[in-house]
Amino acid sequence: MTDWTELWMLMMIGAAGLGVLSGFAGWGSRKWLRMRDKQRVRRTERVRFASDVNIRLLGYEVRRNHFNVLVYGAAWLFLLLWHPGDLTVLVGTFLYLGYLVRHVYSIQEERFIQTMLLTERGLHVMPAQGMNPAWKREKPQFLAWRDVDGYRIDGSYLLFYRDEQVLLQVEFGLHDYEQVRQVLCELGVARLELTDRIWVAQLDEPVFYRMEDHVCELGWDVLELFREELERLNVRPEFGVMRNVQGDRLLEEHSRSWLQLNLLDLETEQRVIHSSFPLWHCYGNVGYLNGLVEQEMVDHLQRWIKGTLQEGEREREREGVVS
Amino acid sequence: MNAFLTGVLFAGALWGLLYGTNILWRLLLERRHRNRHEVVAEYRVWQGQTEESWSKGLSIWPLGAVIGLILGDGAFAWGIFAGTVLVLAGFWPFYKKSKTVCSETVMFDRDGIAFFPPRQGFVHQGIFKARIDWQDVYGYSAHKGSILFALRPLGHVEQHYGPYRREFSDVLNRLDVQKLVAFDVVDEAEARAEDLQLLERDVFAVAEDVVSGYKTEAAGAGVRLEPKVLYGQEAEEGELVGGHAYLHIGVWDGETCLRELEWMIWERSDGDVEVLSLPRERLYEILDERLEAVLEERLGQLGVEAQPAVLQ
Repeated sequence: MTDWTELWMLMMIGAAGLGVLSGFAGWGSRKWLRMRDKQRVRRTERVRFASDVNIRLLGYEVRRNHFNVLVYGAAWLFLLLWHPGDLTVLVGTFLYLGYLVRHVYSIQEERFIQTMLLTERGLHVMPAQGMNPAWKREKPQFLAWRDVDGYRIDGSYLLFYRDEQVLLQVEFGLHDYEQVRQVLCELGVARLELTDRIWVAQLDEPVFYRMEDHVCELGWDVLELFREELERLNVRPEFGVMRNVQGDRLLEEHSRSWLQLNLLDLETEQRVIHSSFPLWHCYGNVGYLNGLVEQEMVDHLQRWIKGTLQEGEREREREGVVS
Repeated sequence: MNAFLTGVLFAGALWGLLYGTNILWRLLLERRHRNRHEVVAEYRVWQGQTEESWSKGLSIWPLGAVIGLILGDGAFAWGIFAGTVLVLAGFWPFYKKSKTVCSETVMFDRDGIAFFPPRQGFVHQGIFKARIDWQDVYGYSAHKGSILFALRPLGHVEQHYGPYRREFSDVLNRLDVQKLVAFDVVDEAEARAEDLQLLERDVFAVAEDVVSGYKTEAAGAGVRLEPKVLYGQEAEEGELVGGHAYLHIGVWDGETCLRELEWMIWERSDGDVEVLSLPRERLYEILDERLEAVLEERLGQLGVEAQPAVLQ
């Protein structure tokens, strides 16, 4: 009799242990698998930027409950007391403990973590796994830069396009906004739009004001390059940041901020030509923010100012001031 | 007979645990929420019944069959069978039409908003409750059947408003949640003529109020302010494609109109209607701001005209 009891205890412990192990294999291993994928990329390619992003929507709080575990636990206890058959109890024990481990992992943040790697060759994404077990997990994705026309930014998503079609979208961390654009610029991935579409609350106002000042300074530096042109056209530039609202109302619907370049005739002070370069346009809940980074910005400013000067020249020719 | 009855009771209890508890738990949750928060408004948004209903209720049968097989007791299995039939006939139709299964409860309170989504069963049916605190909300807007809560720093949550667009907006305005987009986009069916007329009257009343506040200043500037609601129609190849109503404030000097201030109230286009929807005090503020600017401009012009005369 004791033999049987001992054997039964052993079998129960075995079933329970197997259940826990399966749970670990299915859900506990996913973090490790993500790490392994990351390491594999790091070994073979030069990584320029890497980040783990929690893609859970902040502020939207979902109250989790544990009813599944409780109800199944009750059923399991019932099974133990009732003991309809040895095999049934063993299978029940195995299933319940596996489920319990799965539940433990379902509460952890790991299921929301997504990894993004920008390498010299392309983009690697290890998607967040949600509640998928290891054998049904979403595979790492790869997108080579040469297959991509360019990218856009929408909220905290990077959208990579090919022939106007989104190939892949990936979320980046808000604090990486600057760096991601910088790295993509250095890697030669084109921006498809001058502006990024962002949520209005995403706009960091102090950072934006610094950006305005900085861009304005850059603009003056670029204008310095066109000094001869300006003298030849007999004009003086009027250049600066303009807004259609006061500064503290930048987040209101229809508020805008832009760079304004006016060319004024030296003698008459008449405006020969004017042109603007958008920095920010708010549509209430979303806004369009100029997202050019350093070198791109200088290039764009140069192109814009050059274009404006050419237009000014045409205008002057029409007036007959410059032959 | 005893085993048969046990089977019936067992089926009933199982159904109660898997489905019936759902209603009770939802009631309990809602009551607890009302006790813990200062709920200022509460709405039930009907989401409709889901289709897969009957098969779910039948899922007790195979379970009963398995248990019957394990026990080797036919009467028990038959009892479960009979119990399931009873439950399906007696409870299921009412259960499928219950508020818990078909509607979502939305509760606004001082600190946030709580959603109790419709639930089909007690286990494996998603969430019981979700919540957003106002401190995480940047503002809201309405678009085609949903209120969009813009979150801070990013993202948004869509919430169906059912027939309660105005009610939701009123409550949110009262709770000082910022309205981000002045115009709501709604379906043609939702923009009833009487609602639009009511809105026109509202806006006109505000305009009259603001204008009367500027009476003396306007007289000082030698002008008269006249608010009107005007209508426009847009036709394409003789067919009516849209229309709009706008508030028009004319700045009159005798018989000549010096300036016109226009503000859209609603506009129909391509089956959608854009409806002005701002809290009253925002309407006041904006109109006030615009009128002040116009009058200042007028006074400035008068000053320019007057200046040479003084210098001579």
